[in-house]
Amino acid sequence: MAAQEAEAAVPLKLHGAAMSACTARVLTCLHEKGLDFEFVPVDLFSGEHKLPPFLSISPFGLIPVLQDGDLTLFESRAITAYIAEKYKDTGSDLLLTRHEAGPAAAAAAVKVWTEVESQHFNPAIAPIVYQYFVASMQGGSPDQAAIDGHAEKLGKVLDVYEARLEKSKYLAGDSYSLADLHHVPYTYYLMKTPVAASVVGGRPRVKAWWEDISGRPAFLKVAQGMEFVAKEK
Amino acid sequence: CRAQPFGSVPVIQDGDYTLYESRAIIRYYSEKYKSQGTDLLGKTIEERGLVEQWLEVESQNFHPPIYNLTLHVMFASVLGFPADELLIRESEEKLGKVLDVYEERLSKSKYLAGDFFSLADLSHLPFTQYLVGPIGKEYMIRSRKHVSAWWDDISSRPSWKKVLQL
Repeated sequence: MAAQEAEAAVPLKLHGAAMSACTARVLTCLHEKGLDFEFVPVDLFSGEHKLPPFLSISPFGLIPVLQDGDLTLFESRAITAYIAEKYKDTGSDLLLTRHEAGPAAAAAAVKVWTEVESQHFNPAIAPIVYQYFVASMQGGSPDQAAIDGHAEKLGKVLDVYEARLEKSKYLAGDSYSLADLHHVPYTYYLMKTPVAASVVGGRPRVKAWWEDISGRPAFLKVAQGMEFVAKEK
Repeated sequence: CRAQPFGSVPVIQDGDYTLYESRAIIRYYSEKYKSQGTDLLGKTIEERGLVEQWLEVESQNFHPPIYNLTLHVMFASVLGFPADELLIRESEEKLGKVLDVYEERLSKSKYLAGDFFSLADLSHLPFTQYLVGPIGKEYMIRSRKHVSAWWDDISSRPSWKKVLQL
């Protein structure tokens, strides 16, 4: 009891930037679990993430970083996996360990689809978001050839998702899990681009799945901070 | 916390007057307050011409490669985007050639437009600060004797130190 109280006294600390998709991934997970935490903004514009004090907690200069007492973690998907495991008995059942029929199989499916997001989905979607939100800043135009190439790849990945979602409501089964959560931040940005209509809009089950997972209260809290402003003039 | 990383910032509002584009803004203020503080535009039409020349050089030649370095070295990976290693190498090479031109110029005059600190030098401060700090390429400045001395001079001005404390 005393140990639990001592643990509760030291809050989780998350270092990151609100517009970073990777930070948003962890924020969403924390909110799905209903956890209290301290958010420490990292000043990207002064290059804080590339300089020694920050590098001592994140050697590659990456955000987000989670501090839980003496434990320091970076890599957003490692952080979400840690939170989901540590708090598996509270909040949303993100690892499907409380699944009534066959928890081991359900948990394994979560692992498969979190790998799919990381290895197949992310490499296709990240460059598109980059082109629209970052590369086209300051008067440049997005590289349409790069966008088209990656949109085609993303389409092929989402064909697999469309078929999967005919068999189950969510990627790892009939309940929302970490596998679905990991997709949310980048897709949120993609949906603000011209590519969204064909890539997501043209796939009815993917579209329905997106509307569901992006409408969850935990993510709506996070979306408020996600302003990656494209050129306004 | 709201962040506006890129987009049309900075913007100023001077009464009812609105202006964007940082180089337009600094020219506006330099002109408007010509009679106070440092004379950033030179004293004669010829000096003004040189200030404008080197402001163009900064904008057309210095800025594009250093901006690419900033985007890819400082921001890409931290925001979860792939950094373009080829572009980084090419940008460093281009920037090096620009700095060679500066080295030649600064061996003949203390500042870019002449022997007076001007808007042309000032406009180099922010991105060069990134270059020697978080981008980790201070050697590009230090390996060029006159550029190095010029950088130490302009970056130690009280006005720049105030900005760094913000």
